[in-house]
Order: sequence, then structure tokens, then C-alpha cells
Amino acid sequence: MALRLNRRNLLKAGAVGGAAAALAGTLPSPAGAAGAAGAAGAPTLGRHNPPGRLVAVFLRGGQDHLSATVPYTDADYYDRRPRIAVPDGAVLDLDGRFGFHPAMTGLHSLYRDRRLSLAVATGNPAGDRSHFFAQDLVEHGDVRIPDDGLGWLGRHLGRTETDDASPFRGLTLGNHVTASLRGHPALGIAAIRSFGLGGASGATTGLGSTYRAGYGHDRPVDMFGRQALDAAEQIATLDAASDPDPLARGFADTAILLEADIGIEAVTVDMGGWDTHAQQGTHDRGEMADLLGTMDAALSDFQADLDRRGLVDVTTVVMTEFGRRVLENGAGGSDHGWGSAMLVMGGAATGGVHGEWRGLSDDATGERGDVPVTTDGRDVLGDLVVDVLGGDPSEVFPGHSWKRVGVTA
Amino acid sequence: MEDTADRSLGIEEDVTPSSSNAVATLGRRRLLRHSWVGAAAPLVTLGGAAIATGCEERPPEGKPVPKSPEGALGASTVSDDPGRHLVARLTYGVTATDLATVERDGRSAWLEAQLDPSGMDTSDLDAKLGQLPALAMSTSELQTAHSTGSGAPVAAQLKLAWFIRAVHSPAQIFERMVEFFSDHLNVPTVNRRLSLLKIVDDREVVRRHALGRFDDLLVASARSPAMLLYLDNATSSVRGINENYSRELLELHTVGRDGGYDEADVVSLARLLTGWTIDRSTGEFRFVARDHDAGALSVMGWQRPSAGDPFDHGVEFLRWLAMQPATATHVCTKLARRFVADEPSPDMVDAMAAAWSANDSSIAPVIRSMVDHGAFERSVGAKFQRPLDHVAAALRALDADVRPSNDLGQLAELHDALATLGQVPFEWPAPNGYPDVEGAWLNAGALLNRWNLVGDLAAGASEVIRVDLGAIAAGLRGMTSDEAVAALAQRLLNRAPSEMDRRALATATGWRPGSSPTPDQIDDGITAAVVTLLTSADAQYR
Repeated sequence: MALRLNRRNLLKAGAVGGAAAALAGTLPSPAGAAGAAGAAGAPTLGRHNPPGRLVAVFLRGGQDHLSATVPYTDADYYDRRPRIAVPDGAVLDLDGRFGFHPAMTGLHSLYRDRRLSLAVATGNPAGDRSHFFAQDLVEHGDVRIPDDGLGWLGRHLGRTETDDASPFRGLTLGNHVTASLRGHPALGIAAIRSFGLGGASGATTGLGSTYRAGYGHDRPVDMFGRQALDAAEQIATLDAASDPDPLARGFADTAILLEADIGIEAVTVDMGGWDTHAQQGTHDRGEMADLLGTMDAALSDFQADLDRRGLVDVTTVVMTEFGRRVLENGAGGSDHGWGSAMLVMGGAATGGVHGEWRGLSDDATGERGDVPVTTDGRDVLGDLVVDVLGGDPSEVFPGHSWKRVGVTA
Repeated sequence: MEDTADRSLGIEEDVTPSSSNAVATLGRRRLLRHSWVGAAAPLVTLGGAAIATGCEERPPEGKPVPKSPEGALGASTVSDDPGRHLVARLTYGVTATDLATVERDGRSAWLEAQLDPSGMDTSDLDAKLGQLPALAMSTSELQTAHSTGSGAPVAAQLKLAWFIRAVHSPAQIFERMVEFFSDHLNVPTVNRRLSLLKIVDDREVVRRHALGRFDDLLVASARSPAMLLYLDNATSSVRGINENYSRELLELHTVGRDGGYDEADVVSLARLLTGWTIDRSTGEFRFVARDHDAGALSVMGWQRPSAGDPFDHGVEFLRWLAMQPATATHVCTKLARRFVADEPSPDMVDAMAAAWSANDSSIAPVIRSMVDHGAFERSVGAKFQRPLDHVAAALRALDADVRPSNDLGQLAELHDALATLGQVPFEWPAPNGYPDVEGAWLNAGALLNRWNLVGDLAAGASEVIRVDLGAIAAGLRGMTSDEAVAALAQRLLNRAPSEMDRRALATATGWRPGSSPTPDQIDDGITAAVVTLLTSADAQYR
């Protein structure tokens, strides 16, 4: 039995002035979604039934994709990265032009099984070099911070909202909901095992009905309070992952939540540590090798877990806010760049390498010295919006005209 | 009436908090060994832009905001008493002592005493802090202490000191300003070396200048080994510049993204600051002329002098930068966001920036102008409390005792509990500091975590933070249920109980309305009563 939260009423209540307006200026309030999408769009009848479910992984810090998806036949790559380039003999070949970093054995297997698509030279056309701003642009799905302030997933979920929607349509594995879900009252679940009333002392165990009454008004805080109680009740019925490594546990919990029939459509997950300005290391040792090895294990183990549970409809996308400069810096690392790469794993992924690669010559990298963006990242996400989320890219990415890339079908 | 919630959505500062064990580290170097670390490490999200000055749309000035948001049952929920409001906003939590002082001396006198805390009696506080020896150590002493493993890890001492000060220091506004600038000039304690250097930075840079002048603070920060290491300026040299610090100095610390600089300025500033580095043997600041690019340059129209000491040129530029109107506006906006409202009144920010400019970037006049502005009083109940705000306020209301513990296990438990709330002092991994708007912190899971943590603290689950509900319970003996509820609401929330409070407490405690609970009944119900009030919806705001 799916839990119901009467969204339409909450959206309407939040949009009225009074206390809500006094406490306004907040996200993700239902008022925001109503103002942006709900009030304008026609209400959707019946539950939204997407073709599949999406896990969106964000690598925070600007992953050096030239170390992950190596253009190993390009002489310019070796010229510009005398110290940090991955040797051509070490790469795991993909399509004769690119090869994975040697630490990425799990993802390489998936690629060979045609279960992993890559899109190269992707990114946001704005090309901002600030982490914060660049991440925001990717998460808002725009080339500037949009007036509606919504995240791309928040925009999609808002457009496809129904009266009997599950409270779990969009969620973040973590305490803090990602900006991509902004505009949608998404849940942040750090871990299944600790999600619920009680804490270490049990002091709150018996306070469920007290909270339900006490958080009984129409302000965002009240709505989130009641949502917390509803969610706690339902999640209490699930098994919890117990792996001591938080990364492994997080993905394991994600798989458990996806297997449970609680109405999840999109999950966001973060992975940090990618801002490798210095001492990236060599292809077999050091920070980059560690990061890529950790990422590879986490993602391929996750896919294996999904396979074991028979969750064939789950597609995972991996993105970052920008790639890094082609020319290595003086500290054995790389600085903020522009074009990067995106991965699409499992589910609807078609396999293969997509996108236009212009090489790394001075002409190609231009004044910026970066991998140029030849495929707008929103086009890649647009494929997923259509094939996995059952949405409309023109509504999800305002002002952008989506062109199919082919990473999914 | 326009829906301001809509327009607010596009005008926010960074709204993506992180837990202490930040998955999402924008760390320089190896900030974390793993993407997610720590025992209870929640997944963390980090992203979002510092777009504090990029406002294109602002709420109309003079928009009526109710003084006391009313609950649906009609009773006033957050008290609009101006004295209480002043204390609630500028301290870590209202106590009866503060209220009494404001009552007796007036708000102005209270504020002035807080803005010049040098005369305060801090002997009790000092006795506690004296048991955390790392706080007073020099860089080389810290190095030695850490390598010999004596005492609790230095980072743990710094974080515990945060709690001790927040809960026990009489110099509350000073501590709030230390926290503000710790966020603004963030250096996270995410590895051993940064932790050692941050202790020195906290003492010599932030605490020295938090109620002084911003230009002094900025210069001190630029010279701070903690900052030099964290943002890579220590390894930036004429033979290979590193733009990391110069970029954040402009984008985050001073003029802000739209403050009138371009990529060329970032590079020029990085050149200007080459040679500002860390002495290998002492771990302290050193200017190395050999590493410095002494060539001509200009930054945002400021020209490097053709004569004089090249190091002095850098100091001169930093003071010039601190006095730029864009810096005043950027920092004052953040101050107003911290103490007044997520979307500060532009008129208030202008008044604060004017005070900044008229007083050589002194902070105290800026605070006065903020408190004097009408928008301050109109913002009652508007600020959603960040996790540490919320916990500190609860502890002050409960008269809790934060002990200077050296027990690693106890400290680790406290650390992990705070990590689930997403905020541990000095652990935000990115240079922009913990975010400061409701949207960054309020979601269903966050509330659940807060309820549980406050419940645990009130129930005495922490050995480090001691809460004695016995004293509170004893004070309620002989009262009727109504009187007891009123006394608790007054003590914990500084107001009369609402109808909703009464019903909630009746359910939670079993104290029947119209009766007088026995001492046993009071003792049995006191934890639930206290937790119910401290975790209520209104208690999430200040």
C-alpha cells in the first residue's frame, strides 16, 4: 500500500499568503512548485507511470574525465600532460579512440556487455569555472540560474505531480536534498537503518502522534514534519544495509529502496573528492587512481546488486560540474576546465561512445585551453527524461531545444 | 498578494549543506580518503552557487510581515517581544539571565556590553577551556602534541570548544561573529595538517578580529598558514601560479561573483600573492621574494605601485579590496542573512554597507545599523535554525553543562550524532562555509534527525553534554498541569503555551489537564514534556 500525501492540497495551501509567506524565501516549499508549475500546468489525472527509474550520481569537484575516459590515440593528450597522462599501454580500450583508466575494470566490463553508454565532450554551454555556480547550472538544467529556481528533477516531478503521488517520488540518499530536486518536497534519507523515531535513547519513540498533532499547520515545516512521520512508518518495514563502508552502504540502501514498492522515480546520490588541483598521481598510484577505483567499485557493485534484485528498469547516470583543463598544472594536477564526459549505466543504456570529439589541438581547445563542449549535457539528460522518467525535455530544460544523443532507448 | 516564495527561489546563496563527512568535498588535495567517510556518515550533497550578490529580483520593501506568525488555533506562536527577539537572534539561545538583563538595562545597553566584551567575567568559561590545551598552543607545540598523541585529537578540542563557548560564554555576540567569519573564511579541519593550522587560524585570525575591522581580518586570513595551505596559495609561485585562492578571495571573501572582476583579474591577483607561503620549519607565515612575481599588474583597476616593497603591495591591495562597496554589500548581505532573514531587506543591507564604509570596515557599527533597522524587528520567527543553532539553543534553555571531555569514545559519539544533522563545527569542506537559508536545511529527514538528537540530549544520552532534567522537574512540583505546562513553555520557548502545546503535552506526558501531577508523574513525564517543546515546529525557528 503506497502512502498518500495529498499534494494538490498542500501545494495550494502553501501558495496562500499568511504564515507561509512570512516564512517564505525557502525551498523546497510547495509554494514554489505551485507557483512555477502546478498552478500553470493542467493537473495530471491518475498516477504518473514512468518507463523506469533514475539514479543520478553527481561527482562533486569537477572530475578529470581525461584521466577516466582517456583519448589514448591523441598525441596532443600526451604532449599537454607529460606527467599525469594515463599511458596508452595501461588503458582499457573502449572503441579504439578512448579507453578507461586501468582502475575502471567493473565499468569496462559493463561497457563490453553493452550496458554502459558514454557521452564525451559534454557539459554546460555557460562554461563557468566556479564549482558552486557550475554545479548549480547543471542541477538547475540551465545556462543561468533560472527564475523559477527549480532543479531539473524538481521541474520534472512538479510537471508530473498527481493527487495520489507517493512521498518518495524523488529522494536524495543523504541528509540534504540536492539542488536538482529543488521545487519538489523530496526526502533526504541518510541510511535506512537510522531513519525513524527513537534515536539512541528512544526518547522520541512514543512521540509520533504528538508530532503529527504538533506539526499540524500548513507551513513548509509542518508539511515536512508529517512527511517525515509517513516516511518513517513505511521505511521501518524495510531491511537496512549494514556495510561499514558508507559508500557501499549508501548504494546498497538505494537498491533496497528501489526494490521496495514505495513509488520512487528518481534518486540523487553524491560522490565527492574530485577537485584534483595537485598531485593526482600516476595511473597506478595516487589520488586519481584511488578515486576512480572507488567510483568503479561503487557503481559496478551497485549494478550487480540491481541485477540480483531483478531491477531491470533502473538506469544510472553519472555527471560532474565540469572537466579539467587539458594542460596539466605545475603541481601535478589539473585546474577547472569545461567539457567533461557522462556515463549511463544499466536499464535503458544502449552502450557505445556518443558525442562529437574534436581532439585536443590548439584549434580545438581554443583560448580556454579546455575540451570544448560539443554536446550539451541537457541533451544527454533529455534522453533519460524521455526514456526513463517519462517526461518532456522541453518542460524540464526551459529555453533548451533537446536533440537526442542516443545514450538510452 | 504576490507569492514571495516564488521569487525567492532564484535568489539564494549556496543552499547545499554537507555533513561533516562530506561526500561532496571540493577539497583541495586529499581532503578525504574516501568519498564518504565516518561511521554514521550520511550521504552528503554539496553544490550550489554563492550568488549572494546576484539578486535580480528582490522582495518589495515594506512588505508587511506578521510579527508573530499565528498558529491555526489562534494562539501566538513565536513571541514578538523585542528584547527576546534581539537576544534570540544575536545569541545562541535565550536564557532567563539575558532576558532579565535586557529588561533591567534596556536593549541598547545590553547590545553595547556585548559589542565590547572585554570587561566580562569569563572565569568559569576559562576554567573549562583551560582543560583543552590545544587551544592555546603554537604551531610547533601542536605538531608535537599531535605526533605524541597526547590529549584528545586537536581537531576534537577545537570542535568541543565551539560547544562550550556557544553554551557557556557570556560574550555571545562575539561567539556568533566568530562563527560567521569561520563560515565566511572557511578552512575545514578535514585532515591532520589543516586541523593543526586551523586551531591557530581560529585564535590568531578569526577570534582576534571578529568584532574588529574586516580589512584587518582579511589581511590576517591571507597570511594564515591554514588558508595558504587550504586554497593552495602556499604553492603558488612565479614559476607556476595557482589561481585557487585568488579566485575564492574575490568570489567568496570579498566582492562576490558580480563584484566587477574577470578571469584576468583572478590571474593578476594570483601573481600579486605569489610568495605568500608557509615557512617549512616553523609552520608560520613567510614571504619568499624568490617565489614572488614582482612584475607590473593591475587588478580590477587597482595598479601595482612601481616602487615599494612587493609584499606591502599585496597588503595594500587587500585593504583596498576590503573597502570596496561591492565587498561591503556582499558581506553585509551575508550578515543580514545570518541574523535577520534569508532574503534580507536591500534597504537594510545598504544601511549596513554605509556603516561599513563610514567606519573603515569595522564590524560593530555594522551590527548596530542592522539592529536599528526596522526590518530587524519585523523578522520575528523568520529564521529557520541551522542544526548547531537549534542544538545550542536547546542546551542553553536546559541549562546544560558541556564538559571539556578528553574521552575519545564520548567525543566520537557526539561527533557522529552531529554529523547526522549535517553540521559539525569546522567541517564544511568547501570554501564557502555552511549555507544559511531554510531551503538548505529543512526537509523531512532533517526534522527526524533533529527530533532524535534533541531527544537523546534531553534524555541524558551524552556524557559530554550533561543535561539534568531533575532540577527542572523539581521546580514543577506542586503545580497544576496547566501551571507546569506554562512554566515549561516559558522556560524553553520564552512564551505562553499555545493550545497546540497544551494538547501535545497532555498526550506526551499523561499529565491530565485540571489535575496536579504527583512528583512521580512529573518525573516520569518530564523528558517527554521537554522534548516535545524543544522539538516543536516553532522551536525550529528563532
